[in-house]
Amino acid sequence: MTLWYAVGLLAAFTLFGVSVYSYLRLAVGLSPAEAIDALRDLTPEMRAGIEDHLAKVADRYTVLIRRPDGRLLYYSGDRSATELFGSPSVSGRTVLATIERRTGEEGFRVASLSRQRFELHVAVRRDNIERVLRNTLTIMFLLTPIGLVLSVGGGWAPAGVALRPIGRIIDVANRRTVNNLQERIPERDVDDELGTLIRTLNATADRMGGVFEQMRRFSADAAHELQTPLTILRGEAELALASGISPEEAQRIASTFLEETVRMSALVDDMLTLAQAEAGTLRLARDPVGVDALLEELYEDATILGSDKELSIELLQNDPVTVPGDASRLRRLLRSLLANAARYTDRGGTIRIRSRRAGDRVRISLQDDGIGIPTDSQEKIFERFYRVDRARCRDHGGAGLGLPLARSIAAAHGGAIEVESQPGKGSTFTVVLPLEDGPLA
Amino acid sequence: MGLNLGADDYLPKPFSFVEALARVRALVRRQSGERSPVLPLDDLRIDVMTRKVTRGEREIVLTAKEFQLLEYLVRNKDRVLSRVLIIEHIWDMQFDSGTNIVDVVVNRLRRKIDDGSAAPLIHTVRGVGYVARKPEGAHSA
Repeated sequence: MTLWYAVGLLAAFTLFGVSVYSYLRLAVGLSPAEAIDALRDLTPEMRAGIEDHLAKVADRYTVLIRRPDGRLLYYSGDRSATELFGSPSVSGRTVLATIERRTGEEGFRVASLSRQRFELHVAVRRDNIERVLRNTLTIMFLLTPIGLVLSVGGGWAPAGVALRPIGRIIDVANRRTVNNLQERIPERDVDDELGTLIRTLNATADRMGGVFEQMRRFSADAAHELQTPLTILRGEAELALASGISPEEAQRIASTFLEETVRMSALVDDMLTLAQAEAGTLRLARDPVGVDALLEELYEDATILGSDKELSIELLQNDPVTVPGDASRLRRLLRSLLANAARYTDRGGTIRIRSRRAGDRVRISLQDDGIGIPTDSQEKIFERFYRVDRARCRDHGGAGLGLPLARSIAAAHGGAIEVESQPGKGSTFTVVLPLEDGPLA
Repeated sequence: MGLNLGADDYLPKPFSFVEALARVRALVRRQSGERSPVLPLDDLRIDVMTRKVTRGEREIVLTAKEFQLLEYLVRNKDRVLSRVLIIEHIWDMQFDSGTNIVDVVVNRLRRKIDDGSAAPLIHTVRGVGYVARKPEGAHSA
């Protein structure tokens, strides 16, 4: 960039220099004629003021005024007029000419005006002119590079200072990998574009770091969840290979194998679904699904699930609406919410189920009077493997993917899940789904 | 895609062999034009089409899940089905096998099917699962 800057400056200087020099040449070249112009209105009759008038011009030029017959009227030079200006002209016409004359070593530029009654000549020593021009050229040639160096140098230093932070940004950016995203670019005190850029880059790194951290945690949690069934399987396998087990024992072992394998399959399936949903590649069926039929199934499941804890289940409203979507996934969604409601409600509690149409949507809500969810956890519960209480009991239920999956499924259907909860009072989960105004179930 | 190539049915991996077998059987039935919508077990009759269940003269009313469970057990009569398999088949593995959802339905089913009849058809095999079979066969405690 500095190079372009220098080139630009050079061009500017050159242009400047050439213009000035050209103008000078032109101006200087014309000056004798200009002087004549200034004296044009002179007439011999103006004798009195002539000397003063001419004196002004004479300090730069040699002025000669004479009659056509050669009689000198005014001459400010110190050499022979004839030598300088030649013989008087006898043309009698008005002529303005500028010619070059040489007299010995010296060169002159002469402007002449011939009138009927007199001639007016103005001469300037070319040497002077040429000397002046030469000096000017020299000065320019000297000054241009100096000026250039000063400008470039003078621009370089502050620009360098201004751009040094960019150098720092580049350094940090080059070093950035997944592992050191928390390294900060040093921030500036000045609140300018660069400062904003640095803040933005740091914020981006933070966000990405957050995402990577989440992914890492997920992988770790998933691996952990799979370790338990694998350990059980291994133990059972070792047992099975021990000698002297009864057929019943063998069958029990095989049953455990099956159970754990199916459990792992389900977990892997859920993780895959979740990953696909987040990548946007989840293939969903798009059929008209009768929501009221789903809710009736859900109601039955609820009575079964809740029977152990003597929960009472109420299906308070079940509007007959249809939703475009995947029945199997929607069932999954509702069952996740139900499992949570049943899990976190104490013995003798109540679960109320409602499904009502609201404009172009359906709102399906599961309300329990269980232990509730603290406000700061209400978003986190939708993270994979999250548990409000740190104690994660395996048979307490689920692998921790139920809610994240539920949210993904709702979103994939163009809907959402809302949570309202008060610790100690209970929770209400509401699934909102866009409707299709199709034939009612 | 497999369906587009002409397959009659498909199962994504990993799948249950019990499930695969059941589907193959269903396809064979369909192919052979076999109507046979009634599953018999002792004096129990399950009409798959009309969803009517009778035991002897008695007609039994079942809920949706109870019917699904009974059908599953009877189709696999004499084979012990674990809780996990049952959850997988009826609830698509969407409830954790740690819950006792299966036990509850089995008990309800038992009350409706076996109570008031001489021969219990639904048996518990401890540590393994449940099985539907005629009581004359050997059964473990």
